[in-house]
Amino acid sequence: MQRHITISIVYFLAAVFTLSVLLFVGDTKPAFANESFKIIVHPGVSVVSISRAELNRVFLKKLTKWPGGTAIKPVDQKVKSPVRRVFSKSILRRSVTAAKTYWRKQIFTGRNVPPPEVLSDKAVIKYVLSKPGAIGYVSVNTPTNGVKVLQVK
Amino acid sequence: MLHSRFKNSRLHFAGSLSLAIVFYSFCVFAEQNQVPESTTLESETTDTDNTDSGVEENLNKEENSTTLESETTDTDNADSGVEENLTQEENLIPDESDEDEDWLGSLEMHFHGFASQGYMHSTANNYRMKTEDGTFNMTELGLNISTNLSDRLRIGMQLFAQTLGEVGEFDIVLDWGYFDYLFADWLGVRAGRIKVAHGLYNELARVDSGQVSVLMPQAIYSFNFFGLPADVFLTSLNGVSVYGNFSIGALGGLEYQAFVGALNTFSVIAFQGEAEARSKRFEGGALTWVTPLPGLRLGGSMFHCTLSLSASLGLEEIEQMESLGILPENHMSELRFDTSNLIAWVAFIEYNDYGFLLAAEYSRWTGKFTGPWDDFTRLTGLNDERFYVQLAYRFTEWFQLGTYYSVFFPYSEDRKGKTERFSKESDAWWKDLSLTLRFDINEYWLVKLEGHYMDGTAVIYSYLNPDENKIEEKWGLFMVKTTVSF
Repeated sequence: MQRHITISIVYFLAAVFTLSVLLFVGDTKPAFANESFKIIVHPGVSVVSISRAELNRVFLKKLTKWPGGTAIKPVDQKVKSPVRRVFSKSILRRSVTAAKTYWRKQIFTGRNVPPPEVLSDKAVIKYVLSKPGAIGYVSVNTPTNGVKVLQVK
Repeated sequence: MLHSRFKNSRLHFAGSLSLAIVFYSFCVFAEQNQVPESTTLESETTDTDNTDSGVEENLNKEENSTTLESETTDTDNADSGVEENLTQEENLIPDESDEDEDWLGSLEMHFHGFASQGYMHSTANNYRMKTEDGTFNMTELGLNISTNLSDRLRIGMQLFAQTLGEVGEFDIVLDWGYFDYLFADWLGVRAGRIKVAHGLYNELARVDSGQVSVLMPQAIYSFNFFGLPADVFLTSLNGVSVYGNFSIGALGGLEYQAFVGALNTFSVIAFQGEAEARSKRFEGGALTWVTPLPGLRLGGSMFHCTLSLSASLGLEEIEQMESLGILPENHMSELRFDTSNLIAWVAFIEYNDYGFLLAAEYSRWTGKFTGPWDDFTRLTGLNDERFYVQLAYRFTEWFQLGTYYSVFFPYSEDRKGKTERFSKESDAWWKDLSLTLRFDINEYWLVKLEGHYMDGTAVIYSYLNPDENKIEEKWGLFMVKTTVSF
């Protein structure tokens, strides 16, 4: 029995080692690693800058009101969006998958639901323009007519 | 010795639902007597009117941009002007009168669900079910619905069904269902059936997609009072909780939760008889310090409860207790005892940043039993000790590796099984070393492979392992589980 368990553990470690080699050989960096993003808000939002910590709390729905009392309405992009991957790593300090895991915890324990997900930068801008208090992120080169761009401290 | 089958308490549920309805009525009244949000919006648009000349200039410069064209289309093909955009925004926001008439239709409903299927196989000893021959008797289903009635008020519920050996048998239960009113980020109230905050991850006991491993660290999250799995009897309570989070400046932030209510009454099936446990009272709370170091948090939780247990003992149980000297002569098959001052506390620390997870928890359960037989209660008073350390790393979006070492001592003063409390020495401890490979195939579907090296038999129940000669001190457990969630 002891031998059986030992063999099983060796097998597992071998599988782990093999997988690790494959993973590190492969390209694990996000395709968008060197590009950046900017934060946009509805033009009615009075703030002009936001800290990274506050942004983190906004998009995890731990900070829910702007100064003045307007509800903050964050909007995410779809999972496969390159700008979401960069934003997630940079501001949420976790991969998109890990962020989805965080939201599953919130959903299935009844605490909260994630921000809506839209398809593109254009859709983010449209959402932000239509919702007072809305906040989103778009690629740094995307024109942002009509919305306000926040400085990230 | 005992294993459990969970069933709802109609009386407790009706009571908590009544409480929730009263609470909801209060929140609606409070909501209706607040300053309407539209008033705030008008002042913002006025400000925008006065200061948006910059916006007009930008719009004129970007005449040929696709973004602009779509916006002008949206604004009825007029040249983009701030006032027309504001008009568009106002049209997107329903009037209060419209809101009253179409309030129900404007609610955004959120539907989510999950389905899990697992396979478990042990090299020796049946654990929680007949695992020595391998078993697929490990299925979970969940469905929830929620909506925001307003920016502050949410309502939701989750139905859950599982089969885990003889637990569940696909009985549909209300996992949680409550009203949630957020006065401010630092103060929210929930009323109804609420998940129990215990340690870092108790609320995730039924959320496979929210955990690294298939089996959560068992010392904290599986085995508990008289062999009743915590993932059955400690999942939710009927009552009220307050919660919130607030900043403490340079020191980071604090998150808290406090609750009071009653656990659901549940049936506990002994291998030949049947038992029922009721909680008379259940209260507790959790406090977490979110430190200035991103990803690091530490804190603790505690609960206190009283339970009464009544059981009809089967012949094998009686014989076992006689052999241990627990039952006196001329005993009766009916057993009834109370636990008073059942207290469980957990201290935890977690570092979770950039895909790296390090978590550790330490817990003690204490309680006094009072019953008809001094011998019985003397030998089975509660004073255990449990802890674990967990490591995990997410290598890529689709692959995460995790491991934990979990230790449980049912009686902290005898960790080697030398006292008469234990029929064999290995019953005095349970050590579990696990390794998990988690594959997130896509955003909806994941697969986990997991292995455990177990040392100790503290959680090996005689009703599943009647032949004591076959029980092994060291054994292995292998699991595969897949979950789809949306």
